Amino acid sequence: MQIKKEHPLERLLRRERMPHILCTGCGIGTTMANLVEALEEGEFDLDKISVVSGIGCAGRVAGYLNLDGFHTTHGRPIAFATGLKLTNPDLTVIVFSGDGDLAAIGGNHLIHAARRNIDIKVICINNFTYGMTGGQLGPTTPSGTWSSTSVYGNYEIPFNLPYLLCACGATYVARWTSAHAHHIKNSIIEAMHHKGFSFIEVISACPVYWGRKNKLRTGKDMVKFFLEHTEIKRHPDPRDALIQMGTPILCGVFVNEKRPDYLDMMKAQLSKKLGISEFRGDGKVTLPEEEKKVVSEMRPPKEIKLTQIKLAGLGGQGIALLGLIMGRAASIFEGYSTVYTQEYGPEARGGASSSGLIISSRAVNMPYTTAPDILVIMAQGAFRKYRKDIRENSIIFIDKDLVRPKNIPNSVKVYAIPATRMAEKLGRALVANIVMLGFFTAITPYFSVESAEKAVKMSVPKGTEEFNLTAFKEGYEYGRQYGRA
Amino acid sequence: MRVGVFICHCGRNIASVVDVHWLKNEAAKLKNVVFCEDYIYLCSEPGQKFICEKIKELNLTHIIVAACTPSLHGETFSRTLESAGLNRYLLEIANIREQCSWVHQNTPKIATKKALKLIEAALAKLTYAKPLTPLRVPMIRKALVIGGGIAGIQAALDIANGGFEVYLVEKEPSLGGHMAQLSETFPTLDCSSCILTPKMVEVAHHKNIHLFTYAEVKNIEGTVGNFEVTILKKPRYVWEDKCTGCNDCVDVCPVIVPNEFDQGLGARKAIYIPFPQAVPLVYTIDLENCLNSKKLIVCENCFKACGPRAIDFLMEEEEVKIKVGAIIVATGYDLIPLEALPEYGGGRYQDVITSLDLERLLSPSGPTGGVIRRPSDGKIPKSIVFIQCAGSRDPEHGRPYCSKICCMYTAKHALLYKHAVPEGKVYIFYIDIRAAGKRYEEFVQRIVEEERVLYLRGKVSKVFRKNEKLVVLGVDTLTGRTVEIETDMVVVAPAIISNNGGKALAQILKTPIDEFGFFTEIHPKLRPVESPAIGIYLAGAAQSPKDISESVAQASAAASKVLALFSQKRIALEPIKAEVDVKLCKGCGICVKTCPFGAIKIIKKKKKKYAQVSKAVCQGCGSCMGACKFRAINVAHFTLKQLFSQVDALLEG
Amino acid sequence: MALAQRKPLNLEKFKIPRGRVIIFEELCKGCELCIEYCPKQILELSEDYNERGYHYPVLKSGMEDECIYCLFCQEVCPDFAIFSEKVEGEGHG
Repeated sequence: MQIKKEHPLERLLRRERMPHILCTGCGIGTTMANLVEALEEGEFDLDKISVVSGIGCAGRVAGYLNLDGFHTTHGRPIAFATGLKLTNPDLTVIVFSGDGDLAAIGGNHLIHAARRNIDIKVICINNFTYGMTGGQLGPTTPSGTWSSTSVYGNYEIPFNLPYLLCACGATYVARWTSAHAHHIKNSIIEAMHHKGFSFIEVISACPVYWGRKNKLRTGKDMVKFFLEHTEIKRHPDPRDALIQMGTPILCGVFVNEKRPDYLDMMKAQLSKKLGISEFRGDGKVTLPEEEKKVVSEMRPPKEIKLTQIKLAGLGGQGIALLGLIMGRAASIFEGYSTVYTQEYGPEARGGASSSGLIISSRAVNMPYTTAPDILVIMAQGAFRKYRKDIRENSIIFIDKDLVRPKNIPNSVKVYAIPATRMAEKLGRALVANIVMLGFFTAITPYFSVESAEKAVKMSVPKGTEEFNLTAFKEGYEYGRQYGRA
Repeated sequence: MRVGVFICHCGRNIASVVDVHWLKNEAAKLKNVVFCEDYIYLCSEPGQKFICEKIKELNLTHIIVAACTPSLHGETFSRTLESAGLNRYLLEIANIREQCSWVHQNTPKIATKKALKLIEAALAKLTYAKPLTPLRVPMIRKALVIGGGIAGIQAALDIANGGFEVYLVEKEPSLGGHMAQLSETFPTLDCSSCILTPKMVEVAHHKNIHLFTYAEVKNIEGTVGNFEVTILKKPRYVWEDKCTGCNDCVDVCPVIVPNEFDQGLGARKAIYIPFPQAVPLVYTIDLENCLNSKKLIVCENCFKACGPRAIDFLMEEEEVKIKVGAIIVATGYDLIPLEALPEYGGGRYQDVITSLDLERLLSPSGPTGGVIRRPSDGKIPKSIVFIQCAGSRDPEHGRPYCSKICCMYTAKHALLYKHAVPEGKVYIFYIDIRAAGKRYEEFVQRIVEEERVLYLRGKVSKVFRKNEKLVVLGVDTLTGRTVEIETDMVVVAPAIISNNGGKALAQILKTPIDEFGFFTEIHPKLRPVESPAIGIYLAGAAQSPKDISESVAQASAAASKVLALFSQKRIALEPIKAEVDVKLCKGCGICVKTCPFGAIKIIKKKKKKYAQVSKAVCQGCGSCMGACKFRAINVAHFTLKQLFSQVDALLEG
Repeated sequence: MALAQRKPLNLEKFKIPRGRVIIFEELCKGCELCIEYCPKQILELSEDYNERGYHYPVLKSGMEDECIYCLFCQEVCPDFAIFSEKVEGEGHG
């Protein structure tokens, strides 16, 4: 042993995790060496680089490189890389994985990341097989060749990956074989400088599985095969890139174009609508002044026991909005703790809709209304559904015209208001929920008029504030007749 | 139809054999002939005036001139008709000199009868002649110069300075040709590079010249005024616009090979420029010798060393299509290889070298820094034997011609060697000394007298090695004795051959070459820079062996022809073109295959298939007319009707 | 003389780069790619085995100084087991 000297790329390797699991003659090792060499030659800032890999032989690579990296679940490195890039756009994110991980189980992430032109660099080792699991056929296995699940020859046609990626919208697509060290390094450096989704397919040897049974027993034989059966073109057409035994493997840079990447497009669109010109990159957004909400340190005005409120009606009546406004009024403007949930059927209009609201002066631990103290019911069907929740001391608010409460204990307090009719008189039946809100405010002690009005202004579409406040007042005045519950 | 017949004596050429008076009387009796006269020299100024006056006076409509070949004075007489207001295609020339009086000198009676038949045939053809107007097509006023040696450079500069765009195509990586390899030029002993490189730089920077180096002409279609040229740019693997000429790549290249520019006496790397003053100053990778191949890159030394990142192993050859109106061929010369001179030890002994090898040894930027050294051991030779006419003036080996420049350069070499090695001995075996240019004779005489050089008139029979030295066996015809000389080095003056890429370029140009491969001029005396193909001109050693002054002169001459051509915006093409009778044509396509110029194609209109001729491309050769079974295609002015009627006239009686 | 047969007279002016090959025998997995594609063919398979049972590359005898520092072995080795160091004072053709 004569390790007096250090390998020139030592600082980029995690030698403690080596020897790696890759077999003799495996193309993944060579490509990993090319990647490391490229990072060195390109003089990139290693602290700004991160490597993500998935499951498979190629997926082990993140663990061998002395860079910030992540070894994630099968098929998901691109999803992880997307999240990583969006939260920290200053990072250069490299995904290093295999054909099975990226194009089979991870295929969906691949095509969407390409479509979105997310600025990540994907190095896909294509060895025509699922190596780690025993050499099964995958979406890149060439027709007619052996694999452990196609012992009589594969009768599927594989993906033409450059064509696929091109069609999805990737802006840098290249293919080389593991013998083409010079070109792989250049492509990696180009991809590192490229802004947008970059995909480098490296056709590699799997001498132990695909190679062995397809008459190429060693890595050396496979490399020789690649060199003899490769056609390199300066501007190859991705349509010709399908790999078939008997025709040369077409290599080269298929696509290299400039298009705004995902973050550029997001910034451009958002700044049109929101006046946002800077995306801070840590996930936070600074809103324009008038939209700022001051979350003040409010204390609940008085101790109340935890109150569960169930609101129910037909979809389209604004049940969900009603609960939201109530919740906002009680929490943001009064200081109580509230939790708000929604339920609705699949129909946009007409189906059942209900929401639940819990108001308490202490922290609320459970989000669901299991035993509502108050029910707000605006349709007969809803009454039938939630009748079972009505107990001796329940309080129910109903729309007088739409709901006929039957068979309920006498001790139940019922407050009725012809909210829909009043809303129609005002001009739009749609504000029936706001009328009900006014009614509710007058009768219950959970929030003041001012709080309710502020909550309404905050929650209704711009330009409709005046109309809604009118509806609110109508309901409130009606409720004053009854006095407080 | 009022025909005038003019019979020329051509001095004694015709009149001494043909009885012109009898001929005149007989011809006057022919149908439609209203005037017939003989004259001593019709081509002369008064002769033409005579014709002109008669046309006007007698309202002649068609003219027959019985005289010498139309190749010589066809144009003259055509112009005469035009000046008299007649269409030039209403003229027929009966060749009663080359085809009659000159070939039947011993049988004057028969010659005379034949002369009458020739006139009858001319009359028959004329009967069906139609007036024709030349086609005027727009001319692309840009030129192509093939070859970047001194002739090509001069021609390109002259045309460019005349205000027109020039494409200059050179197959080597740099301009300069053989002149760049020379040390000093006779008779002034100017340093060759010093006078050449300013011109090379001027070409590179001229706004009217588009320079393509390391490129060849692959295909040429079309005709004068409208040539479509395909240029093939060979891949250098170095981007011209990025390379700064810094030389960093050469330092790290691990491959050393002989340098062609130094004739193998010097070396270069696999990435190289042929010489330091190369234009353009861009490096080229010789992929044959480089450790890399198209398939696999193993060595990246030059790639990594290149600061501007100009090296790109993915480069492919590129085709560029251009359109030009005129082409100048200036492809230069080559020398026969030493292996063709085994009797002189060529190819066998290292110290038998050619004159061009010696130029590289003499050159200060050459492999020995300007010191003459023996290739075998690097020692400076104490004596040199020069053998002139090595391969030239040699009918037995198929080269009977003189290579013209060797007498002068051998004298120059003798002079330069004696200046370097004053005590050295020089022997020159010669047959004649050809020093015909300006101050050439004085130059040679000075060397003979002052430099104590021994000129031996005779040929060498054998050269062989004896230990460290070479022995030359020859004869001195002036003393009548055989001569045996022991010497350190032998320099042969090899025959000059054409550097035209074999026959390939001539076929692409569709212009003829002679049996030695030199491009043929249309007339050696009067039109030495024009090829028979209109629009293609010749310059320099491509046409015949010549030295630098003559090459430059010829280049400027060719350029002036091009500038004259470009003085008009439109070019008139002769209307002697094929025409298709659509009614008779069956669209069979035989004419398409027969046409050597690709001028015909089959088109389909209104359910009918028929042939269509491109008038711009058609050269009027008539091959299609001969091939068509349906007699559907005719060449104007040489229609089948006209030709058959001529034959009938000849066979009658 | 034919170009290929001539020996250039100015070879001393041409320098080529030189390298020294360093092999970590124990890391080698015997794939033989470095041996196969070395442009100067200065490597061959060892007679010995390393601890893992593979034959590893060794310099052919007499070729120790022939490395031209192209670094292809370094770039192609999957196990980072071979590299070359630049030697100052380059050699000649």
